[in-house]
This record gives sequence, structure tokens and C-alpha cells, in this order.
Amino acid sequence: MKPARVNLFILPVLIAAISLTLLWAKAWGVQKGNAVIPETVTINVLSQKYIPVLFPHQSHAEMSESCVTCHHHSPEGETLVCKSCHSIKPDIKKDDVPSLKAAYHLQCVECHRQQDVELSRCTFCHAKKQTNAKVKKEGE
Amino acid sequence: MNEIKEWVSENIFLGLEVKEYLRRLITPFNIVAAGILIIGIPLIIIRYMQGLGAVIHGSNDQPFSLFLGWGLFCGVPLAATGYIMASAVYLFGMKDYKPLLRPAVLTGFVGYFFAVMFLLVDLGRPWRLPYPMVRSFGTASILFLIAWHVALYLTVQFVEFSPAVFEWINTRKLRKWAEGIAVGATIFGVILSTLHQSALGALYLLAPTKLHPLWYSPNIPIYFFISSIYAGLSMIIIESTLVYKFLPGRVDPQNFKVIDRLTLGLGKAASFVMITYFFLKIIGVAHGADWHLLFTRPYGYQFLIEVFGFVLLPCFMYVFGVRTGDAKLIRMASFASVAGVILNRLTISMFALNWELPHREFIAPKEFLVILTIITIEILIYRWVVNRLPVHREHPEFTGEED
Amino acid sequence: MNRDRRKFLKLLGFGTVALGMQPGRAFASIDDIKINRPDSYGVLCDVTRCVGCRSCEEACNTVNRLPAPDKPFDDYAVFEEKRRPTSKAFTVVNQYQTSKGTLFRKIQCNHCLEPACATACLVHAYQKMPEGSVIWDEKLCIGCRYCMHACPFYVPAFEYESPVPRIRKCTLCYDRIHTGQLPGCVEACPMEALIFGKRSDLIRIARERIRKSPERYLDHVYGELEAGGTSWMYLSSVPFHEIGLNTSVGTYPMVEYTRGFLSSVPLVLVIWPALLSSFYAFTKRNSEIKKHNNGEHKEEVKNSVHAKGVE
Repeated sequence: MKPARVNLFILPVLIAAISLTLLWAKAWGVQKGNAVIPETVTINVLSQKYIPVLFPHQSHAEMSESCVTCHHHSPEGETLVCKSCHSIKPDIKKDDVPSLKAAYHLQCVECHRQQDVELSRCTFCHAKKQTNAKVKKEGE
Repeated sequence: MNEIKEWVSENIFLGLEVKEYLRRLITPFNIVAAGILIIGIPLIIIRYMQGLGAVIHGSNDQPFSLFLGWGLFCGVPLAATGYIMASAVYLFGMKDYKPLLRPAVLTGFVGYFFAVMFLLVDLGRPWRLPYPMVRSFGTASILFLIAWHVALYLTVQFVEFSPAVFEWINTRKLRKWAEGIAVGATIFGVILSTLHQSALGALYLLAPTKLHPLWYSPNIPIYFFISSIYAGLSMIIIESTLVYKFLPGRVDPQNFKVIDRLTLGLGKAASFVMITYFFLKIIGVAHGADWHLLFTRPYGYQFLIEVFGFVLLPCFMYVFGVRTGDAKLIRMASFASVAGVILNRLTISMFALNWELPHREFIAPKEFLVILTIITIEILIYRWVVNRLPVHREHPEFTGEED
Repeated sequence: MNRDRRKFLKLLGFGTVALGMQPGRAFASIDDIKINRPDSYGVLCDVTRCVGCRSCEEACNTVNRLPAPDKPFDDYAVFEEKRRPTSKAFTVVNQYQTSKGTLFRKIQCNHCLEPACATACLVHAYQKMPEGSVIWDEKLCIGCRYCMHACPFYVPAFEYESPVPRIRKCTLCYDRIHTGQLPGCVEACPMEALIFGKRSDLIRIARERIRKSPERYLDHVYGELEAGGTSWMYLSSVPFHEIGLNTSVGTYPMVEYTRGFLSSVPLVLVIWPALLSSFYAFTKRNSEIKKHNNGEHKEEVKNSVHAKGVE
């Protein structure tokens, strides 16, 4: 298992994948107001322990009042994606801005937890990649 | 060679043929003792092979269990007999208490020696016992102080007891030297005792959030020191009561004539100390403004029972005993006082510590058996020494040589 | 009397040496630690962010190569009871029902600025490192467990099941932070409920979060002053005792409670010899006076008898 290598390789590929997906969604997606809302977004930037998240973007968009509910701190008329402001390894001293991984989780899990604690479990959004969990075998 | 044989026959086998000696060993007490040892010694071996958890009931939240609660926290004040009697005889000139001096020093020496034995079982890595003495010094630690002082005091107690040993093996010169430094050793012993008796209480200063407020006080070292004084006085009474009853042949006949008067004297001293201690405890409650805790269940009632039933009541028993010249009442009071000290130490080290934590268990049969085993060994060794050495009697060849 | 004088002088000498063990010097290890050392590292735990995913527990287990747990890390039934760090788990997360709903809190060594365990250890087996970690040294420990008694947070765990037992506790991933990495739990936390940095920075960030969202946070950083200050600090939306933190710990480092007693030790070592020697001296003097009076009395009796005899 060479996670570092896999990461480095996947990063540019996945950034391309997301961009293409977004372009495709923009072309074929449903309109809400003036913006183009992708149907699903594959979140794959940081996956080491868990498989990529297939995020049902459209249904969440319909649940919310406006785009800024999740795409917060976006300037007027724009909808920024998360990694525009949240870098993978930020400097905590700088304005206490969460890292990209934390930004995803803080945004999603907080709301999920308020709905139902089961929704906030890790495997609800992404299954584990391999069984890292070490459990004592029977009779050990 | 013959001389040594003769000495061994006289002093080890008590002048009996070996066969006869062994036959006489079979007594009810010895059989019970043997039974306890047969169960207990394997348990101690198991403790060393399988780790502390196999026998000791300590947990991560409460690391000191009944084992250390008894062995260290009760054992040390109950062995405070040595410095008290030595002070009385050498520093305050009460020569009439001479018959009780050697027994008191022996009780103290055996008591401290076995406190170290208890430690050797309780320590996680007992082979490292000398570390605080030689390897690495944690000078901010009160336990460091206790370790050093117990080691030094054990030496002092042995030096104080050594005249009896030297008489036994008949070395006049060494005995004279030992008698000569008795006063200095006594002073040193009192200093060490003051510090380590109070240090045992000071161990709890570092855990103010864990000990119940009725027992916690910044003055807890003073409580431990003062209670060790009357614990020692009471233990001297108990020791002489038991030996005069069960081993009368080892006691000088003239001692029987004076023992009641001496017992009354000890009782008088103990009563002074106990009334002082009682008021100190009351001051402790006032100081912490803990009056409202006195009637809580169960700790409030426990405290009241301890202070009124096991400090004030024995104190009054002592006073009445002295007033009416009733040595029997004094003896009963001594048992009650010692029970009170044991209750106090066990409460502080076990029940009142971590009183706010849920799920605490105190009943530990294996631990209890090991404690019983070590106490049995202690009693057997004490009895062996009293039977052979000039402790309660004067050595025939050294009669009248004490200054 | 000569021998006693020698002993007395010996004791005075000993006492003087003991004076060198004054609390100020005795606590050399603590004098070395400048209190509230701004350069040491710490972790800020924002309890409002924790969702009880137990990723931190799993990471700690991996990083420290601890044995496999009885129940897997995604078993959330463990929250039914309150757990504490053990010899096999340096950190645990507990669930609390509070006035603001279900909250989770991570328990681990708080790496106090003036640790009670270091004060308690009679063989100096604990060291407060400049980076902030409080480390236990296996080469010195004798297994007395006084550190466990002293820790106000009930952190150190003991290997009761081993004949060669160790104390086990969180090390703030000393080996990792030494090489510029994050502690395992901090890196693993998906919500960034744990942030690692210089203690002074963490306090500033904590205060800033409180200022920005006063409805979300209680206006207190637990660990800023508690027990003399800890490296691991907590932010909470509810009173801290509701999430199982001890609010009666006070702001003194534990060592302060023993200073009074320890400073009396040299005093006893110097005063007692003089005091006790004087008891001895008074006693001897009294008995000599008595003997002298008895001698005179005998003389008087002899003389009066003689006189009577003459008469």
C-alpha cells in the first residue's frame, strides 16, 4: 500500500474529473434562478480511508433556501466552490479558516447531526476503503 | 565449635532437643498460622508471576487499595511505638518505663520492616525499591521524603534494638557502643518519625479534589503525626497485654508487679494526646466550614462515629481508667484507640478518597488473604524474637548493666 | 555527653544540608519550566464541533501501535457508558447528555504546565518537555502509582496485568511533533475539532471564536488556568461540568498544595535536634539536682541523727 503515491497521482486527475463533471453539469443541469446546479458532485480530493463521496448536490440545493446557505462567504452574484477559500493544509493562525477536509465535514455533519445522529455517522456518507478496523477475534 | 553448638541449642532451640522442639511447635495457633501461610504464600508468588492485578484490587482511578491502605498507612502509625518509648526513657528521663522500652523498639522495628515488605509486594517493580535512594531523586515528591525517612528510620530502629541482639550473641563491646549512642539515635528517630508520619498525611495534599472535605485539610500532616503518637502509646499497651498473657515465661517476674502502673501512665499520656487530636479535628471542620457535611450519608456519619466513637470515647475510657486506677479499662481503651486509627487511615486511603466516583469496590478476598498472610508472618517473627532475645526480660549475663 | 554532642552536631550539619533542599531548589524541574511558557505547544479541543466519530481514538491506536480494542472504533454502543483512558487506549471519547443536547468530549492527558504527576514521582520519571509533552520514563519507574493518585484528571493508566508494568498515557505524540508532524488524533479529526499549535496562539484563536459566536460558546477556555494551566484546552457550549470536566480543580498547580509541608521539613531538621537535646539536658539537670538534694538530705539526716545521738 503506497497511499502517498496514490494521492499525488489522483490529485490532478480528480481535479480534472471534478472540473469536467461541473462543466457537464453546467451543460445539462437544472436551472435554479440564473445559476446552473449540478445534480451530483463527486468529492474525491482527500480520500485515503474512505471511498469518494457521491454527493447528491441537487436534492440538497432544493432543500436549502439559497445557494449561500452552503456556499457561504461568496461574493455577490458568484457561487464559490469550497476549495476556493479552504486549502488542504491551511495556516491555523490565519483567521482560523478550517482546512478543506474540515470545511466539508463542518458544513455537512453539523446539519446532519441536527436531523438525526445516524446521519452523522462516517459511513453514512462514505464507506471505508478497506477494513482498517482492528477487532479482537473471537477467543483471543 | 562446641560453644556455637551450645549457643544454638540454647538460643535457637530454646534448650530443647530438636525433636522435642518440633513436637512442641504443634499448637492450635501454629496450625491456624500454617494454614494461612499455605494459602497466602502461593498467592504472593502468583502476584509476582502474573502482575499486580492478579491479587491486588487497585484500579486506574484508585491505585491504592486495601493492601497499601493497611500495609503502609496503618502499619506505620501502629509501629510508632519505638520513638515514643525511647523519648520517654531517654529524653524525659522516665526510667521506670525501661521494661517497656525494648518491646516498643522491637514492635517498631518489626512494624516498619513489614511495611517495607508490604511495599515490596505492592510496588509494580519491587526490584527497583532502592531507586529513590540511589538512582534518581524526585525531590519535589513527598513520597521521596517518606522513602528516605523509612529507610533511615529502619536503620535507627535496628541500632536502638541492637543492644538486645548484642546481648543475645554475647558481644559486650558492641553492646556498649550501641547503648552509648542511644540518646543520639533517639533524637534522630524522633526527627525522622515526625517527618514521615506527617508526610504520610501530606501525600493527600496533592489530591485536594479527591479526598472528602471532612477529612481533607491543609493540616492533615499534623493530624497524622498526632494520631501516630497515641497510636504508638496504645500499641505499647496492647503489645504488653498480649505478651504478658500469652508468653508470660519470657517476661521478668518483677515486671508483673509494675506493669499495671506503667499501663496507667501510658493511658494518661494517651488521653492528653487524644483530647488534643479531637479538638484539632473539630478545628479542621470549622476551618473548612464543613459543618453541613457532618450529617450527610454516609460520610458525615462515618466522620462523627470515628471522631466521637473512636477518639473521644477511648479518650474518656483512658481518663476514667486513670482516675479509678483500672488497668483493665485502659487496656480496653487501647484496643479501641488503635481500632480508631485503623478506621481513620483506611477511610482516608480508601473510602473517603475519590468519594465522588461511581462504582467503587472494596471487597477483595485475595488481597485480604495476602494481608493476613503477611500479618501472620509478622506475628510469628515477633514471637520468635521475644522467645529468644532479652526483650521482655533482662539477659542473665547483663543484669543491672543498663545505665 | 560527648557522644551526644557529636550526634547533635551531626544532625545540625544534616539539617543545614537539608536546608539546601528548600522548595525553591527542590523543584528544580519546575523552575526550569517557565510558567505559562508561551512557546510550548498545545491542542485546542472545540467540543461544539465533535460528533463522536472516534477517528481520533483509531488514529491514536495506530500511531502508538496499541493492541486491537475489544470493540471496533465504529461501534458507537460504547457511548452507553463513561470510559476513561486505559493501558490500551490513551484517549477515549465520551458522550454526554447536556442542557444543549448530546455532546461529545475527548479525554486524554492534558499535559499540564506544572504537572502533578511530575511533582509526585519520587524517582523523577516524568518530564515536562519544552514542546509541551509530559513524558514518562520507563527506565526509572518503580511502579508506586503515586502519579495516578496525584493526577486531578485521572489520566495515567497502569498495566496491572503485567509482571513488568508500565504507566501508559498520551504523550502528545512527542515523537511526531518533534519532527514537525501533527499528533495522530489532531490529524485524523475530520471536523478539525482539534487544532494544534503554540499555546498562546490557541488561546488567541479560542477567544476569537468566543467573540465571533458568543451564542455558541461559553465565555471560558478550560485549561487556560485550571491546575495552573494545561496544554490541552477546551471550548464548550455548555458548563464544563456537564461534559465531565472537573470545575473544582482550581487555578493552582497541584505542587503548590505541598509547598507548605515541604518547606517545613528543613525547619524540623534544624529545630528538632535543638529542642529534643534540650529536653534531654533539662531531664539530666533535674535528675542531677535531685541526686544532689538527696545527697544533702542524707547528710542532714546523718547530721541530725548524729546530733540526736549526741544529745
